[in-house]
Amino acid sequence: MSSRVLFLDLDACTGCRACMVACSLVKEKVFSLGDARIWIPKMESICLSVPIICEQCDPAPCKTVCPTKAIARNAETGALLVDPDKCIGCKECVWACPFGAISVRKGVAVKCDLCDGQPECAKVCVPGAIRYVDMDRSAIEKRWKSLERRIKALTAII
Amino acid sequence: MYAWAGKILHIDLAKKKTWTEELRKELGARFLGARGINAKLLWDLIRKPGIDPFSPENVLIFGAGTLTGTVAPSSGRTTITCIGAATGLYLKTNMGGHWGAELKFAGYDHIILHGASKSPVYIWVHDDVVEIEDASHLWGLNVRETDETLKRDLGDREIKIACIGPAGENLVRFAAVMNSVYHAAGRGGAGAVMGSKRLKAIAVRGAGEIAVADPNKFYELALSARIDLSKDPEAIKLYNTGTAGGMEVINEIGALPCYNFQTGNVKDAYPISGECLVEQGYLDRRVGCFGCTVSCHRYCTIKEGPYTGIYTGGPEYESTVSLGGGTGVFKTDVVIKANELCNIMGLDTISCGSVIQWAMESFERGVLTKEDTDGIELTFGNSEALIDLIPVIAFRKGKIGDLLAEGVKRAAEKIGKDSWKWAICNSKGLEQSRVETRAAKAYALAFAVNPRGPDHLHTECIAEFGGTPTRISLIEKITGDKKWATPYRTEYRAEIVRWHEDCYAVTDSLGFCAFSSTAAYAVNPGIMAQLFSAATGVNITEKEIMLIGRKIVTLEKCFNVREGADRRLDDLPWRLMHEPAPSGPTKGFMNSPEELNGMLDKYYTLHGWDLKTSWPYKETLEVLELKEVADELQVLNKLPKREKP
Repeated sequence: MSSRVLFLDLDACTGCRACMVACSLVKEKVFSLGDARIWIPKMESICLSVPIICEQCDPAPCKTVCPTKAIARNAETGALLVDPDKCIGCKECVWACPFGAISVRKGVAVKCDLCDGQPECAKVCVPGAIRYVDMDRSAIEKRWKSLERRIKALTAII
Repeated sequence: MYAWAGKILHIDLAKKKTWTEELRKELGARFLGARGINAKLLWDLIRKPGIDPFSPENVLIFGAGTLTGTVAPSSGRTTITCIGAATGLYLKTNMGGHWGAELKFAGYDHIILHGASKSPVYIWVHDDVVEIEDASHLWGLNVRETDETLKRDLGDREIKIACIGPAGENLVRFAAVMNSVYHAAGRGGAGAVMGSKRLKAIAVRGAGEIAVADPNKFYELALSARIDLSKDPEAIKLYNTGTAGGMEVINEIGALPCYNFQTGNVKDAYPISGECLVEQGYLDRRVGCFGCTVSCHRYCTIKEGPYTGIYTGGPEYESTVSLGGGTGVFKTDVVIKANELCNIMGLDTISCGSVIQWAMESFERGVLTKEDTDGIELTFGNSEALIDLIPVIAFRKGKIGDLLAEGVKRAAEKIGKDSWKWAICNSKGLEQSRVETRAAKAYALAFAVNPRGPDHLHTECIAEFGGTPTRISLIEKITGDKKWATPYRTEYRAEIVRWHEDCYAVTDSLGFCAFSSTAAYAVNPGIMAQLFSAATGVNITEKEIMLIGRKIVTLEKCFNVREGADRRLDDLPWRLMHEPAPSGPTKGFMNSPEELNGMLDKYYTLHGWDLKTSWPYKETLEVLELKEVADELQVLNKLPKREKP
């Protein structure tokens, strides 16, 4: 299994949302905020933007609750992938996800699949708020800290 | 339809009616988008000259860029076009933020506002549904309150709002339209035109999508442009220290206009610089407009002293020089506070600072007295007066508020006593942005011919300063010799200005930021043509797209010609034309009428415009495929008598 993860840096995010439209283009061949697998909620009066994306949790609540076992982990990238043939669109995973990183479109759950190990959101993020990094011990700690801070920020703005 | 959303939304505020019109691909191929299409729409909708900017017959047009909403770098900008409140002439004013992209996702490229409502309203556009709602509960609220209230009322934090503050409501002639709270379409008083229509806000939410003709090619081009732009040294500087970075260098060369352009060199410019915001801990975050790789926008908070707790977007270069250096207030926290006030009142910081500087100089010269200023001791360097005056202007309070809300041209006409000599506006009537044009000759020419008045947001010409390989090679490309990369020479300024005009018109029309194409240069006209072609499926070359840029510039010129403008309005502020720069290495430099006229002759000749009137020849208009414009000007007797020599 890959030891790389998407690291989201609250302090570096400028809220430009290029990641969102890059994601939608790669996944759906159109530019759209609604089709993106990454979400950048913003509080515009304090210019605060909080990047939210699937953390590929382990253990993963979405995988656990799925009644049809449609969500499985890819051995190469570590990404949790939805099998559209098995998915019945029941939204159990949407409710189970602590980050709001899954949605259901056209009857099928959609979420970040790490673009098979080449995440486009990280490619277009010039300020470096989305980085695809090796997950060594210090990175894991940093990732938890980043998560804590983002959740705190999110609570403040929503 | 590719790239364009494909629809123009019309809203009649008097009849409370809305309808949509198809945006035809031919119109897009002819005028690109945003600024270009806006110009054509305004030309067609305003049928007769002389309409007052505050008349219901004026229209207010919003246009998002052709590439806005895509992943092309720094392409999220929106152009607003109307008859301007400051000049009564053509106004295009442009804003960043996130509103334009949302408009595209809602399914519209342009919104045209006709007529005026009797009572305050706001517009709520969510995809196909367009509602005109009562805004009496919003009238009087500042920009931040309006944004927060609407988002709360409509139950969605991700709505994007373009709105006016009290300044727009009170028809202050330099009121801005604000979006994403702190992003201003500042210049020329579009906010006042919006106020005259009693339109408080346009809230937009879009769940739709934008398709491009060749997604793979477009993505490849956009990605490589993003990388190039992110590596550009100018862009990196803008990210690090913002537009106000490097101010101490400008001060050293004597080109920092302080004390109402009475000096270009002060003892210490550090407190109003971008470096100070970073190093002294005012800067909390760098902020990006939609899709931007540069992120020059700032978010600052004040952590100690009398203004503790103040938070705001900015301040940018023009704001800190106009509100700070220009008024002689070199205090970081006061400048941030003044900038916050302008933002939430919905005022253009350039004009607001300019009119306060004019009042300060008038007061010190005894032309304005305490009786005129309602008791305010209006001297340079008086922080309290600066902070007190901003809301007074926004609400037109008292004698001084009402006087200054009219802008420097009208205020000086009213006060007389030679005060027009230090009114830093040209004959068109817009306050000049804080650029020392006496020591930058291409800027001087560009400012003089700018249809909306003297500022840098029609034709940015940073390349004339040279100093970097990219700038120097651009000047070499335009003039044939790199020795002309100096701002102190008048030779080849017409050529330099015209290249930048064309480029800037394309930049605005596609939704790009000037910082991506004429400050940093990674998004050059060739790249823009390629991105446009891949996005729209309308194949176009660099040469062709630049020619469309020229067509747009010429159409904007023709609008003013129809309004009765001629060569006499293409001038610069009196002080800059008649008083030499007082200090530093630029000491003695001036934009003398002789010098300016020499450059103007060359510029008009290059364009194919008549030297006496400055009007375009019929033949010039026909080459640019503006036949309908030529025909109309012919009927109005506004084509030059002589044939093109």
